Amino acid sequence: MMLRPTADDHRVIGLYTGKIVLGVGLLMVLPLVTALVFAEWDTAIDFGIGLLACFGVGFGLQAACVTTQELRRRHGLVIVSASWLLATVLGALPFYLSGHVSGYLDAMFDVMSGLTTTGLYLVQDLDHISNGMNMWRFVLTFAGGQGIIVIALTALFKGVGGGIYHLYSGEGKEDRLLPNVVQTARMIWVVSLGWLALGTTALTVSALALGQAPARAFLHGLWVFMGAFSTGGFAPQSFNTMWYHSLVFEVLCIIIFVAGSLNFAVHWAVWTGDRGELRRNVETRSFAVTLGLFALVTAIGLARAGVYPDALPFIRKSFYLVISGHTTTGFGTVYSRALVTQWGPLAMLGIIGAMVVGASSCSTAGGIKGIRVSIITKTFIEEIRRTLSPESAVISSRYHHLKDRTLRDTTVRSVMLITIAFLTMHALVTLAGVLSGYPLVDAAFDGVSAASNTGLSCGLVSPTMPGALKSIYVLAMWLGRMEFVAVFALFGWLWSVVKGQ
Amino acid sequence: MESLTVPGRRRNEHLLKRIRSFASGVLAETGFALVLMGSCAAIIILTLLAGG
Repeated sequence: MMLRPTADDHRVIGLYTGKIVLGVGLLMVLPLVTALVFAEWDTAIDFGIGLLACFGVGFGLQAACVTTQELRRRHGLVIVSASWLLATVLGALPFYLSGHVSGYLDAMFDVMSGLTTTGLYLVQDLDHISNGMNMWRFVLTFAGGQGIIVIALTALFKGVGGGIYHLYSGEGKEDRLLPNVVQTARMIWVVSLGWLALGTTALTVSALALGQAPARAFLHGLWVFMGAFSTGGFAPQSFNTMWYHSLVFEVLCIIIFVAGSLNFAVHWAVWTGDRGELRRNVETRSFAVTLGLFALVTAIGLARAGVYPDALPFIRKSFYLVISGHTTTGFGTVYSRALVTQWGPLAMLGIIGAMVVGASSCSTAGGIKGIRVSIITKTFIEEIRRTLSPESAVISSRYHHLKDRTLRDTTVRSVMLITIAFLTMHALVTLAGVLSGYPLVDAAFDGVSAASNTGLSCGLVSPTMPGALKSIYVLAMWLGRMEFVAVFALFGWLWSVVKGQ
Repeated sequence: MESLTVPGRRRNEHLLKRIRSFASGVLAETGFALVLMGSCAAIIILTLLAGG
């Protein structure tokens, strides 16, 4: 029997959702200040309106939903989903007001893409949008990478009880770096801001060396860092990172997005002296193996297509795209349509495979995640060993993720469920693309890219794509980032409001 | 006087330790990324040499 939520349950959800929306409003201060610094008055007004809308909704919800009820798991998951949805609706307001998108759906598409660190975009005339608007794109992707709940936990939730862990885990992060979840959220920011300082400096110096003016070099350095570390894939120019035509810039980007794709708990272990964790961790091992596999498939595809007769561009283009796809970053150094017209289906299949697997759990990356692929592989091996061993033999598997663990049936069950959900979503998104009239390979590439929060595109994603397909991609990006559970909890909640007793 | 300077020194040592730990962590992660890049490039070169 499904219980109908009480008024107090709704108030708890409203109260915390209001706090998180307030956090999203505070994020708008950054693009607002940028717009003011560069005297972009129209953009400043757009963000002023957006900020007022967020504050209105945030404070309004908090005022209307005063309660003493404790935050529970079922509330936490619904709050996470509702907050991401509200953040998308409200965050789209400045985009819409800027006039650079053809409608509110396109604006929401870009905000969901930014928050979920996907990197696909529908904004038009990207090369000429204001600095303030560009700053908003990158703030969204950087904040989304750490998680908007993590931001709220860091700044807005002081002294709350144990139920707060359900907010944190609902955002697809399960590993705690420290016993206290608020401290964990702060540590995630320590890691991210540490890398931000270093990565931005390196990219700014590189941009200066390329001949950019200091202010422009700094903004490009900052934005590309935010796009790379959050494995987001947004870039300030429509040609993405190909625009820089610089090997140094590309190598720096790879280092940053590989770092961004690491589990925050692994970062923390390495930063506190346990450097061996990088070598021992099941996710980093799995990443190395699958990266090699997909690099091989892509290289065979490219060699057969004969696109790059010289070795250097062959290596440079192929490994950049494979690593970018595997970390679910979505930075590219080839034209979108070149993937279809020059790279061909086999090379594209290599990239699709990399995007499907994705990188580490509890990182900024998307996809099925290395730890799940490892657990499924170990389960298969365990089953084969069991089949070949005497009936009385006790077979068990172990893996290392921050500590040595024994593979348990409950873990396998949850891993299988999420993996099946991901694969089904990839199939359905591809089907939606085909039904919209696109070729299978194009539909699979861009569909998987959206659902795995990668952002590489072979040209299907554009402002002219059907509205229904845009909506499906928005849903896929949201489901992929939340890893299903929180979104299903929101749908279940709505269902229980209607049908509960 | 000493009671004032010792905590200050401890704070500096603590900060220095943190910076050192951060630097070695970033270096280790950069090394990991470079090793991945190297292995990936090696696989691609071998494929290229083998003629696809």
